[in-house]
Order: sequence, then C-alpha cells, then structure tokens
Amino acid sequence: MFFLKGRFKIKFTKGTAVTLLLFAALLAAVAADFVMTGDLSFKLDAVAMGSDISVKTFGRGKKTTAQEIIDTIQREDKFYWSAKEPESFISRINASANSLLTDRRVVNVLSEIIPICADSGGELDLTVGELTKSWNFDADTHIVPSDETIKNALKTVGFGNVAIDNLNVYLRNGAQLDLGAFGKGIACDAAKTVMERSKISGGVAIIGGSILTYGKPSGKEKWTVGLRNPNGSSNEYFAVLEVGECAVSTSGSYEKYFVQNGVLYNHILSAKTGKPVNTTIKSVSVISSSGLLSDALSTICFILGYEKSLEILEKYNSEAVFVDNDNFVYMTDGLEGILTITDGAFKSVQ
Amino acid sequence: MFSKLRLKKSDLLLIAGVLFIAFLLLLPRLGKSEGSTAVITIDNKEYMIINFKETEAEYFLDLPCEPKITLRVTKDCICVSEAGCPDQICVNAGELHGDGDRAVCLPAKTVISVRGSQKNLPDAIAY
Repeated sequence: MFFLKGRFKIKFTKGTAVTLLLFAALLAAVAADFVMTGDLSFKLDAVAMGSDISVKTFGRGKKTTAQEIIDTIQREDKFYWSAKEPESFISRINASANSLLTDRRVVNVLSEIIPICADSGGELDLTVGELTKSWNFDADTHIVPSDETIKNALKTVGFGNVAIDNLNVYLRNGAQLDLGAFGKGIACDAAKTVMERSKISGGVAIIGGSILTYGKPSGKEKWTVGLRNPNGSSNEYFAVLEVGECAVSTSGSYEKYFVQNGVLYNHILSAKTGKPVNTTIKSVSVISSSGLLSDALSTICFILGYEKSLEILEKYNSEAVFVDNDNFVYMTDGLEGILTITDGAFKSVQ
Repeated sequence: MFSKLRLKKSDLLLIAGVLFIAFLLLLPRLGKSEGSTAVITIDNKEYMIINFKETEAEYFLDLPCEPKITLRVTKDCICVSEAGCPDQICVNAGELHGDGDRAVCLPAKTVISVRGSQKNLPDAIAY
C-alpha cells in the first residue's frame, strides 16, 4: 500500500499506482506529441486584398483571433489602403483636389513610409500611382508603355508631393498614391495589433507571402520560416530561418512578370527610372521588426542589390538574404547561426 | 493482476479522472492521419475537407468557383489539374503532399491547403 502524504490523504494500491503511472506516461506522450506536431494550432485560409492569407494561432481565443485578423485585413483594405476600392482613404486622397481629412492610422502609416522612401534614394516611392497604371501588371494582356508615357508619369512621382497637416493629407503635382509596395507589410502589422490585443500565446500570419510572427509557437522557443526557392514552386524552400517575433518579406523576379519581344519585364519598378529593375538578383528576403519595414526594404534591396543595401538595412536594424541568378546566397552578418540553407543547389558566399 | 488488487473508491475516482483527461486530449486527434487532409476554401468559406490518404482510385473534382478549377486527388497528393485563370499560379503550385503545402487561385478566391502533423517543417514559407 502507498500513501500520498501532505494535503491528500488518498490510499491506493501498488497496482493502481502502476496503472496511474502508465496513464500519466500516456498523457505526457499525447501532450508532447500535440505540442511537437502543432496540433494545438488553429489555421484559417482566406483571399483578401488581392492576396492569399493564412493565419495560424495558438492558445486561448485562437479561433476568434484568426477570424478577427482576416476581418481586419479585409476591412482595412477596403476602407484604407486599396487604390482600387473607391471608398478607401487612398482612393479618396487620390481623387481629391483639396486636402482630405483622414484619421490617425492613415497619417501614422504615411508618416512611417515617407522617410523610408527618402532613404531609398528615390528608388521606392509611395506616389507611383500613375506609373503603375501605365505598366498595369495586373492586366491579362501587357503593353510596354512608351518612353513618353513613362516620362510623364515620372513627373508626378515624389514623396515630397505628399503634404500632411495634422490629419489632413494633400497631394501636389498630380501625384497619385499607390501603396502596393507596402500593402502586405501594413496588413502584417494590422495582424500583429489584433494578436497583441488577444489572449493567444502565439501566432503567425502569412499575407501574400509576407510573414508576421507573434509570441511563441507551441512547444518551441523559435519560429521556423522557410524562404521560397526562387527556382521552384511556391511550396518549396531553399533555407530556413529561426526567429522570434519579427516580420519577413520577400521580393522576387519570379513572382509577377511578362515577356515581350524576348525581354522579361518583372513587376518591381524603380521609381527613379520608371522601368522594371534590371538585376542579377532573383530574390531578397528581409527580416525586420515590422511588416511595413520588411515589405518596403525587400523591394528596395531587390532594386539596389547586396552591397548598396547594407547601409539602409543597418539604419533600420534589419537583416537580409539575397539570392542571385547563379543560386549564390548573400546574407547580412546578423543572420549567422539563424539561417540554414537546406537545399544543396544553393551556396552561401560568406 | 487487477483481480488481486483491492481498489478503493478514491482509486477508482483517480483512474476515471485520468482517463477522462486523456480522452479529452485525444478527442481532436481521432480520425486524423498524418498529412492527409486538404482543406478547400472558396470565397473565404470552408467548402470541403478531403482526406486524400483514404483515396482508393484517382479522381477529379470540379470546384464551384469562377474561373473553374479542377482538382486531381490521389492517395499521395492533391493538385490543381486545370484552372481557367490566366496566370495558372495554382496549377504551377504542383502536387501538394505535406502539411502547409498550398495552391492558391486569387481570381477564383480559392485556397487548397494541406494540413497534417509532419514534423520538422517550417511554420511558414516567405515568398
């Protein structure tokens, strides 16, 4: 006979003790398996803001939080950021001949974007609306705009054309806002705000390929983020990052492009030249503290290339992984020990 | 062995409690097998779940979306075999096998996502 001492005065036999131990072992195994395999998570897929969205959440309120993230992204796209939605603040600012009264969210985001544009040396700009309309990469058939059309569109480009006075926003010189280079990042940050307000223990939001990690994954200290193989399908990755809370965005020439007269035109436009970037870089992934930063910086880094990107990456305390056309991988120093190349076709340069 | 044991009421209560907790933990797992389930979402609503590991013979399935999408389902994988969209990104996603593999058709607002419990896969893929 065994006796539990202390507060519990329950008697039980040796056989019962063995049975209990077996059940305890079973419980521990089941719990460990749940934790290791992530079966405690809730996953939700959706299509919103012209992108695919996938949310995985853990802990208390995981279902409602995942749904709230999707709802928030859809709402913000419709009423704030989409230049295609007539009711959005961006559309209304573009259509307004005078200053438009917006709200704190709009002003905060625009105020965060403008210095990044300034630091890009004119390569990235939020007023490329006329330019992106000229190229229209979303159309089924593509026409390369004439040099004259590009020249005229470039006259309207410049972050200095955006005037912000308290909550009022005004565009000068025919400028048109297009937050396409920032949209997925803005949505990632909106997802983070929802997660921070919730009681979940961790979550990951994938918005059109941009990733936001929050809290901790179940049973692990770090999140693992695969970086897409630029030569493979969307489910193949060439390297894995181990990260805490952060945002990861990738820009690549494989994503959206068209070929005309034997020339490949990728969708990433230089706001300086008005033309698609001619580069030997195939993809760039940037790891930052916010989605807006990682999204914007991945585009800037794709345009600038490895060497010229180091300064702006350091300024914004971000890290990056570059893959060139020959599958050579260049990474910033902060990723040492964090990034593992898992596909033998890719070689690290450092 | 148990016939020789003299179980008291408190012993039985303990065992019942442990069994109940074990059952609760196992409940969400019942009926699932590793990497076997594809969740089809159309226009942000879960349309159907396919346990493709239980597929006996290959078959094709038309989804009620616009543009039209046809899935090919086999014992080993699920994939978009035909799609009416111009970019064919969903078709190019190829065969979906493991947890987290996805095919997305933005024009049709359709997502095919494999869910399972394979280990050592990334939590997310940036693209």
